[in-house]
Amino acid sequence: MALPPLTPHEPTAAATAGLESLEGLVLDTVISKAGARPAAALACASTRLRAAVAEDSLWRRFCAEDLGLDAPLDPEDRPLPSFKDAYKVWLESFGMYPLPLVKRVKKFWSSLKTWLSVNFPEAFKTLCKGVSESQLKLAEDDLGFKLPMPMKLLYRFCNAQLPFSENHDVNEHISTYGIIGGYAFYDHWVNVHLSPLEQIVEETKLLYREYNEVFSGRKLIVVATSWFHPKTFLLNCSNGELHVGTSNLPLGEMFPCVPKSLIRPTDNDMPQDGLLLWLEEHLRRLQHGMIKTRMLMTSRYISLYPEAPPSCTSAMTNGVKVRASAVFVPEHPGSGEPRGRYMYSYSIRLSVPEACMLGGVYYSSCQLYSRHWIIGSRDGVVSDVHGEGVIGEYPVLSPGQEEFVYESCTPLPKGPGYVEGSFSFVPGKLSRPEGKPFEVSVAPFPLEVPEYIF
Amino acid sequence: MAAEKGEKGAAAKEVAGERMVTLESSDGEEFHMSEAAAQLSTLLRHVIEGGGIDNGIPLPKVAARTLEKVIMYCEKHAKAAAKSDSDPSAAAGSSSDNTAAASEDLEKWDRKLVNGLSQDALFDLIVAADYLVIDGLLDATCRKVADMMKGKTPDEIRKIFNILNDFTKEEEEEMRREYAWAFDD
Repeated sequence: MALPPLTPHEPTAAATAGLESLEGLVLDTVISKAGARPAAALACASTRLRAAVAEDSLWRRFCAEDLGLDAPLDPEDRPLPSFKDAYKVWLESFGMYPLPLVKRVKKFWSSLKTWLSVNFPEAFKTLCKGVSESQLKLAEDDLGFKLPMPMKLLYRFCNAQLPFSENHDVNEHISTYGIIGGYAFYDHWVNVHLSPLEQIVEETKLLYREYNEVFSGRKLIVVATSWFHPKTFLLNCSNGELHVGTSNLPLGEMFPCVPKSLIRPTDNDMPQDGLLLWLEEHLRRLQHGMIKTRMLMTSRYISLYPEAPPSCTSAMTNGVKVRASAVFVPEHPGSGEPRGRYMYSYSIRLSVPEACMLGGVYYSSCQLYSRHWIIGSRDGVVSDVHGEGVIGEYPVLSPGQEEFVYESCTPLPKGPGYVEGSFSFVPGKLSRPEGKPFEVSVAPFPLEVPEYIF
Repeated sequence: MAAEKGEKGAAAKEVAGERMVTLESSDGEEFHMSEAAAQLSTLLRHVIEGGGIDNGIPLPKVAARTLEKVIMYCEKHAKAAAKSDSDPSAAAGSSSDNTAAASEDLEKWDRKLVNGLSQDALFDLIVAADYLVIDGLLDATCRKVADMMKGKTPDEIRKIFNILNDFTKEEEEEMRREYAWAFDD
């Protein structure tokens, strides 16, 4: 005769010392080691365990460890009553992504926003609220392919910068506020903005329409573009690589912007694509002062000329300081395979930090009158030029004044190179020299295609 | 039963050059452990430093089979600590590989210890480690229980840990809603 089946609510044997009879702090230890999802399962097992899991200190810990969240705030920084509520809200919003990646992307935006609000508030104000999952889905449908996970998560947190609108005045106002930044030399002005999702879709479709044969089937999207001179950054949604177009982009010519070995778009726990790696590297450089903001007339912008060694060199002669660094310019017509050469722009900064001294005598000013400029590559000297002034100017330097800064450019055949040289100065002024002319060295600075191209 | 003040633990005897302490389980069994091993328990360390008990330290909260495991753990870890202290290459700093391998072996031993226990024995060991304040053992045993919960549904957890479902139907529904984020439906 078969025994009647046990109802699901009757235990077969009672444990003498079971999970539920563990003392509070010990049970907390066990639950915190198990993690948030197991804690949720425990809470649903019995009333005793529900009470134990309700302990907000547990959720405070889960929020910190899993999300990098140190206060009970929702994804829009609105306060919530408890860490437990916060964890729930965050998981409901971001649970479709691996939490380590959520924590990493959250940290990225939070750090970038902090840096911008302190150092470049104008650009901070151009950042837009993140998009929703459904907006991402619409974009994917519109494009006809899936977007990489790290890129989607970046845009969930922040929909990049204000788009370039039909209104020319609006655009002019924000033109130098690109969070990637740029440079200006002669008539070549570049300032790169990160594109909002709508603009990504629009510009990508435009690119495919105009250059269909080259781009069709390749799953590339336009993620960043330059105000002023065109410069286009493309994210490959198949393999996560990020590239920048040369002036021959219509023929498909581009340079990689991120070391390939770091790109892992399909890793389970921590997928990383070129866009995320590129942005993180850029932020690191801003935080460490490797690049800084500058003023272009009355507008602030992020200047990509390196400000710190080893890319930026510095030399002092007779109290005259020369700092120098270069940047690779992939979008310049001078760069690209057909010509087999690369265009670089360099920025030279001249100043007299304390005093100009020559032979024991202090001078209140000195003026530059000529330059000797040497550009070399692995194979030897490429150019060795003597010239008058710099970019047509003869700067006068006085102690304690702001640096005199100028930019120029030079092409270089393939392979790393360098620039070095010297300037001739007279103490006093050219119109009224107060002493003998003297040479001021420019410490050699490198010209090379970098691992990360911005 | 004259325990002289200042005399460190009359229960401490010398055995093969090592000072030993005597412990008495809740069920009256006597156990010996080296003083070095006993130092791993903050509770025992205080008792020993406090001046000694003639006939051993009674532990009414710890049963014999549990105390046996506690002593195994403490002796193993005390020996490992002594070994790395006396290791000449440790000072030279060149043996980071050795120390890493040694701590990995110790971790393996800990896992083997907790894996070999029944659930009842595991929980008894947790309670004992908590009471005796042996951080490493508490950590290892709690981690084991935590691992048993990972990736499990509430039903599975109830089965594994013999837990009675005392929710009403409405409460169960409410819990499902509250923690919906945790379950991929």
